[in-house]
Amino acid sequence: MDKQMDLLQGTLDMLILKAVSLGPLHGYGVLLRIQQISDERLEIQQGSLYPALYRLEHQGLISSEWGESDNKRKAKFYRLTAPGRRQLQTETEKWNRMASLIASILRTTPEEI
Amino acid sequence: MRLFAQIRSWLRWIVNRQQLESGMEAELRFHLESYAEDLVRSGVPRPEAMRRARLEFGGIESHKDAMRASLGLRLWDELGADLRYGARQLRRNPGFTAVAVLTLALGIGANTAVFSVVNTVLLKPLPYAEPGRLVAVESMWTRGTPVPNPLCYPDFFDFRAQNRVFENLVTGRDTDSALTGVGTPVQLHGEMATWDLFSALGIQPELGRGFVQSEEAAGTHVVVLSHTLWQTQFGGDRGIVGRTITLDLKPYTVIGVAPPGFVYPVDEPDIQFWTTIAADHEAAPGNTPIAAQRGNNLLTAIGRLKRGISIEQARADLDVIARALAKQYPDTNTNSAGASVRPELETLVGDSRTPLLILFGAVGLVLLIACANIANLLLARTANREQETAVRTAMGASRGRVVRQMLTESLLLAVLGGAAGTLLAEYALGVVVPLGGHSIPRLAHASIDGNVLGFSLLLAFLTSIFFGLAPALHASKVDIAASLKEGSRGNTGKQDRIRAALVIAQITLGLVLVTGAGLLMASFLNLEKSDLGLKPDHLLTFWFSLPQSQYSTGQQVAFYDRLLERVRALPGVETAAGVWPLPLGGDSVTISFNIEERPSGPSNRPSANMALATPDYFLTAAIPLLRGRFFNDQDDLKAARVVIVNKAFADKFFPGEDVIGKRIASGATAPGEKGEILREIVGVVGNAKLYALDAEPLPIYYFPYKQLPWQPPVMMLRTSVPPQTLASAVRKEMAALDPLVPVFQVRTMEELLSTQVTEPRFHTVLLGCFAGMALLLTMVGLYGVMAYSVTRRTREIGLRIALGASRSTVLSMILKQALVLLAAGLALGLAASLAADRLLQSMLFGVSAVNLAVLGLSGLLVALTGLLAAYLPARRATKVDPMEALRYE
Repeated sequence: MDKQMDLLQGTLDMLILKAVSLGPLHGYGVLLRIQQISDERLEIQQGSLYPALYRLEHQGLISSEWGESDNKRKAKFYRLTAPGRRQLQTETEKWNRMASLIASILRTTPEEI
Repeated sequence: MRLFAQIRSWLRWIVNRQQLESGMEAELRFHLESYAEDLVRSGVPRPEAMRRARLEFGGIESHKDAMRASLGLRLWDELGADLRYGARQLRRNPGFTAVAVLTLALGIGANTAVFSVVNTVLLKPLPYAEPGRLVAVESMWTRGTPVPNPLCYPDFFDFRAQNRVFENLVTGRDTDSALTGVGTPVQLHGEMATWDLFSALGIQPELGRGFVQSEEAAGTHVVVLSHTLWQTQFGGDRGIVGRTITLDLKPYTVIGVAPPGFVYPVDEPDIQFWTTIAADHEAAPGNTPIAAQRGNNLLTAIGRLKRGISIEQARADLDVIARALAKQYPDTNTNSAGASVRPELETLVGDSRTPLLILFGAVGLVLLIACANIANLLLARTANREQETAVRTAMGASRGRVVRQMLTESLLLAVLGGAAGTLLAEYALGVVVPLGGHSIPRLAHASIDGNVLGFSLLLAFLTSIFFGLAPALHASKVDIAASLKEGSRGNTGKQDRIRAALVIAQITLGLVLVTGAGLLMASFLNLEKSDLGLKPDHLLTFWFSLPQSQYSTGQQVAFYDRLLERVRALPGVETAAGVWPLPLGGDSVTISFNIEERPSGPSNRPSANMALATPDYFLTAAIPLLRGRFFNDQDDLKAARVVIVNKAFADKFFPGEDVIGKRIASGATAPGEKGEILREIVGVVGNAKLYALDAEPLPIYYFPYKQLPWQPPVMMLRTSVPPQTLASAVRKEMAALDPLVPVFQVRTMEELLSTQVTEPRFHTVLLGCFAGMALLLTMVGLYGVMAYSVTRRTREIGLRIALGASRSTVLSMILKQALVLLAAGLALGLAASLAADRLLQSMLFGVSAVNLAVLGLSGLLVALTGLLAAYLPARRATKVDPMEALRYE
């Protein structure tokens, strides 16, 4: 359990957008990509992945297309759309602002007050 | 942007549902298999790998549910399920469903029918280009309270030349002409208009062209035919343009054919040709043409506002012109020192507006009463379905979910009712529209169109919420534990109060409608038996006109005498005479006069209705002579000028005096007469009404036709046989005198009377129907509540009877319960009626809106029908068998 972190509420969408921004992926591929780029430290509930993908596609942030997987099987590939790219950018900025804010609060020592 | 994407995605998956389901299945299977393969690759045995993959992935169906929810399809799916469930419920209770759908069909159908009338008459734009910029232009009568008043030609020409606010200013008046040279001569109904009529309205003729400016000048004879006339009289001949036709024995060049459906004026859809006002610029030698007579107010104009000009700006602009004219022509224009500019559509339908809106409101009340009935039915049903609701809630359905499911059922009912109602409305229109005849402009075109369908759909949605919400909310508050116990009756106390309130509201609204209908009926009866001042039975009237080009004025008078002689000799004719304007014929002419003893300046003179009559007119119409004498054949242009006045005239202008021998000088003069001509009053006759709807008879002064031979008056025959049977004999006599003169508008006096009361009859019948529906629905409502209450109290009643209560005690106990509801409803209803009936005042004839007799009778009617509705369940209560009742439940 140590090496794996629970996912913060609402961040899954952002991670999916990031994952597919690096290239078209099928659902299972999204899962592997996130685990890979987080050095296996993030474990995503497999079941919650698909509702999130469908929600993002419903909102027009990603689009999908049926294609062929590495093992020559029919699979559904997701790619980032233009609105998705803009969304990822604003979400990233928001996240960074928030993270640095929280970090600076947590860094605060008694002397600084 | 994102909303747009969502709607697109939503619609896509609703349409391609199958594809979505198989896609989800394939995608998830791919995921599981890929994962399993990865596990196999890491050394897990294959069967074990598949099992682990499934286990870790979790329930596929629940994931799919979440995926559907992500696409916003859950509401949709639940709606589908609710609809299927609701349909099953409705099928299971065919009695309930039939009653509810029928009630709604009545309510929605009546509303849809009335709305289609309101839509056609009041809301539809005028059938011209950019109708919003069209305004009605009139003069403003500025003596006393300002009222719009018709224009005269010279004022119109000044308005047209000097205004800076209109692109076009058009006027016209109707003109009837005989079309000859086409077989049987026919009388045509036409309109003469200023040259820019078609271009101002933005109408392109179907063939040929519209008028040009030079065609307004005297001596021009051009005509545009209506599409219908072109088809019927000229066989749709495309070579008609350029041909000459004969109107009133004068040659007219056909320059165009109007497109099919073109009407102008809008309230005269039967106009058959249009010509220019050229004829009004012509006159017999020595006379002033109508177009040059200032003060001869007979025109209304229609203006097209320049873009960006408001009605107020237009009015201000014309006011300046009118004031200048009043200074320049004090004799004729002092009292019209202003202008009236109103939206054309509003002016056209002005008088029909209030009554139609009142009918619309009334029919809305009927729908409310219908809704209350269905709400009551649903409440009774939710009581029976409490266990079902409790089970749903116990299984985890949220309160919102339960409400939604119940509302879906209501919606299903409303849509069924709405569909049936729309069919009903289509049928009702077929009955209602002929009832209104031509009394309401554009009514004949009322039909169910897109707007109306949208309205009834909206109505179905609104009503479903209206009657469904209370029962649904009520049902959602079920106490699970109590309800699941067998035979428990849940929260019935609260429900009883809702049901009672609904019934009281129904009685209140029902009474308002009944008193309203009662007032209109009382008014209509008053109208029917009001004294017209003449005997309308056995009277035949008909028109003809003699072209001035063929018949000089003297010849016209002689012709009239010869015709009178011939028709008098017809078997079945008692007397024959002529009069113009014809009473109840829809026309009237008001002309000012000077009283010899009290002369006044031109703008301060009194005025009254005038008429031309032949000697036998009063005898023929049965108008009594009160003093003096009737006209005789010697009252011609060689004799001293005389007039006869009616009693209203004598009372108004010579109060308390003997009018015989007094002399007046009228503005009406015979051709060739110059200056003020004094005419002696030789007789006083009874009052005869010009319009059936006039509350009081108006003052009229009569001229002998021979002393004012303006035009041959309308002929009137008193017959001893049914009058209409003489029509063909009259035509034959006319043809014998001159085969080129058509007889037209052959009508009995009773037909004319009926036409005049068409509109009040229309309103009375409609409101009467609505009141009847309201009464019926209220009775059903009260019956339903009482019957339900008796059923629920069977055990209690049985116990009372077993303990010795007599049947009559039980009967009065139940009736008392109904009486409380009735009394409350009646009290509220009487108060509401007093307030609401004031709205009807403008539609009433000789009846006050606050009418205690009508109010009392209406209250009694509602009370009696209410008691009857309560009596049936009460009697059933007395038949309760105590032994059975105690075993009940």
